Amino acid sequence: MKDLTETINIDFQQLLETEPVCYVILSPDFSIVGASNAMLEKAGTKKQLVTGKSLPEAFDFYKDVYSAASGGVSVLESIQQASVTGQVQEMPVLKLDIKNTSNHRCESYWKISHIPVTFAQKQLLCIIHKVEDVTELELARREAAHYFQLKSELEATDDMRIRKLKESEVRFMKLFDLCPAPVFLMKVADFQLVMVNDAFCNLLQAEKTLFSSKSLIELGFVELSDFEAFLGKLNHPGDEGQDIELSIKMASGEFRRYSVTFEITQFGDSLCYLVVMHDITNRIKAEEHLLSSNKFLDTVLDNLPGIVFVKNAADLQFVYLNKAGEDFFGVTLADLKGKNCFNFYTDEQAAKILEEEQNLFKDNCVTEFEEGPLRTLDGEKWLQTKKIPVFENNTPAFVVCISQDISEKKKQQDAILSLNKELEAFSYSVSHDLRAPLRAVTGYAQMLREDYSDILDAEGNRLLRTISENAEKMGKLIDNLLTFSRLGRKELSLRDTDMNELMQQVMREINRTTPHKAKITVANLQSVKSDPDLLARVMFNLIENAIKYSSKKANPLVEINSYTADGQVVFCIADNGAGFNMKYYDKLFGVFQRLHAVDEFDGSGVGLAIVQRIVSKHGGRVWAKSKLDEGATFCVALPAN
Amino acid sequence: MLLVEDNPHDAELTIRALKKKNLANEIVHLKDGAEALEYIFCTGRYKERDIRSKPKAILLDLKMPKVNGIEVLKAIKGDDRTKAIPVIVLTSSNEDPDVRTCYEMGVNSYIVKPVGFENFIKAVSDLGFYWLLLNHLP
Repeated sequence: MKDLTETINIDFQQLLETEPVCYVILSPDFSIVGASNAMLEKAGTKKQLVTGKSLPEAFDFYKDVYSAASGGVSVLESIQQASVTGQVQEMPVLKLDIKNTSNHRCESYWKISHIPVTFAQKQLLCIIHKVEDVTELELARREAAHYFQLKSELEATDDMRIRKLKESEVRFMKLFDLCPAPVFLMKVADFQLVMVNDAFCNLLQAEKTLFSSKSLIELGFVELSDFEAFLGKLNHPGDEGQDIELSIKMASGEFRRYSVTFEITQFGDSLCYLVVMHDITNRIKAEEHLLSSNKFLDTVLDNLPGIVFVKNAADLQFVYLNKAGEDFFGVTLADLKGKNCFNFYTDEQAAKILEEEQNLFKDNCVTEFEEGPLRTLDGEKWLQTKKIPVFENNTPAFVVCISQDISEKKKQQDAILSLNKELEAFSYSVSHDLRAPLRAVTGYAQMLREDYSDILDAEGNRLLRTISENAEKMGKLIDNLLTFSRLGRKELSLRDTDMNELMQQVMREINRTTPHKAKITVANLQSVKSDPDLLARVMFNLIENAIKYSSKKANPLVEINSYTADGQVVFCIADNGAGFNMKYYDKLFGVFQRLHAVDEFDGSGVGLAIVQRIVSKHGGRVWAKSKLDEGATFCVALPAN
Repeated sequence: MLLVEDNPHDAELTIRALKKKNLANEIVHLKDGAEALEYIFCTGRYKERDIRSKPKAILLDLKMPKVNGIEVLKAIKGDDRTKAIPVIVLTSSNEDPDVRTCYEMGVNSYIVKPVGFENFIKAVSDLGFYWLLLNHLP
């Protein structure tokens, strides 16, 4: 999303810098957001002096023309018009007094247009205030008018007037040729060209003589239909002074589009059109590009599978919803516009949403959450929603929300959850039911031993003992399995845990249940936040293992210590026992996985699985390193508070 | 003393454990929860029984067909005439979540099967129920 907007912003920049244009970018409240270097140079000011101000505050030469209309619309009215209609607005040429670099005021003629830029063709992003300096052109035009006026008065004039006329003629001819814009003089009667300026010749890459007494049609510089339309407009009364467009065929064959201003004037014997041409090809290209950018964005948004909606930061009303959103919620963008979440949620929910969205701007962060169940036409749905605050010039502008329909995922999760529950209930009742016959085996074996051991011989007694031992072992196995499945659903109750105290309890339990001859050293241990009952179980299992696997050494040794690293507290239990081959490391923590034979080292294969389950429930990690016959070290890392 | 236990093997082992310590002189063994309710509340098969002659303690298995131990416990603890009778629950595992439910319903103690004498002593001392032992121990 962000990338797209950026791309488009860059497009604006490039478009506006393709010609050395003077422009000012206005925010939707008409304050200045930026200005081109050309504009700043012309006004003799700096970017930081104009940003945030209104046009007349930033540029004093606008003071008189900004809100007061001088023969037409005012600048302000034109901006308003552009912002309301979303259409490009062009103003008639304005006369301004502008200080030049040597601080002299000089008369300037500016042609101003306002180009609105919208987001997703709906929301106004900014208005480009574009300035074309047409002073030279305008002066030429005025001088021409003056010249023709003087010339028409020629008959009744004296020497002085003739001199003035000649001076004026020279000035006119000079200005006419100096004028940077192409200008031509064409007879009203037969459209034959009377005079063209240098710029016009340069444009068409032809000598001046080529044009004399020929029309543009004869010369093939215009298409007939286009030229007829152009002439129609020239002849239409009331259009004088207004922009008319004309396409001219270049030497390359390419057509360029011109906006034309004209005046009807007497030249010699004939009535002529004095036509001044302004190249608007680039501007039109820019506008087309802008339109296609918006269209591109709209196309992308409407074809996304995800839901995209945009809210105004000011009032948190909806301003945009893409196609996927319309389908999902069963509303159209038109329905949604101008509404806020109070129209769709309970007051309490809506107030909460509103507060969260306001906080987005306070914290300037993106939030992501699941929401649901939402009632839609297709039943209850769940959404995964991401909300992004969008700023413009450091002021909150929009909340962009991107949602994904996760109802399917949610359904599957629920199915898995209920399956897990079923599985737990099943394993629980199986464990229970397994126990009854087992009790009978151990109980009746005991009865046999108590009442008949003197009748049985040594071998009979041994067989009986074996029955009892195995039945007991099976009992333990069932206990462990029950513990393991119970851990799956147990909620942690986290507390600050004094590990030295906890370790004393564990050691008492070890010494009570596990006869051993190991030397066990416990260093001073760091405290941690944990569920102490479960962590005790972890330590018990690891120490019991360490004792078991070192029991065949001459001097079994178990060391327990702790350290802090990367915001974690790590507890290590090291022994000097049988160790294991790292090749089988990935089997170490699996349920019923054993790396030693039962007659070598007894065990159920559940102890380390329980350890791992508890540790990962704490958001921690357990790992081990070992070398066969050189002991093993098990480490448990838990988040340090 | 009342023993409510559906599994005949568990019942035999329990009675044997109690008998060995002379604790089972007056043991009544009932085979399911429904029968236990009839006996305790003197209805059905036991309607001739006097409700005032209460068992000194009830050993109650949780997992039984028809009426389970928890329902029996609920009935005992929910009736003013019977709620003072000490009830010891028999469970097959320390991990049994039902034990917690039983404590919430006012059970006095629990014993993990198979019922050994040590287990039983512990359960009885949980009750502060020494007189039962004092009366019967040699």
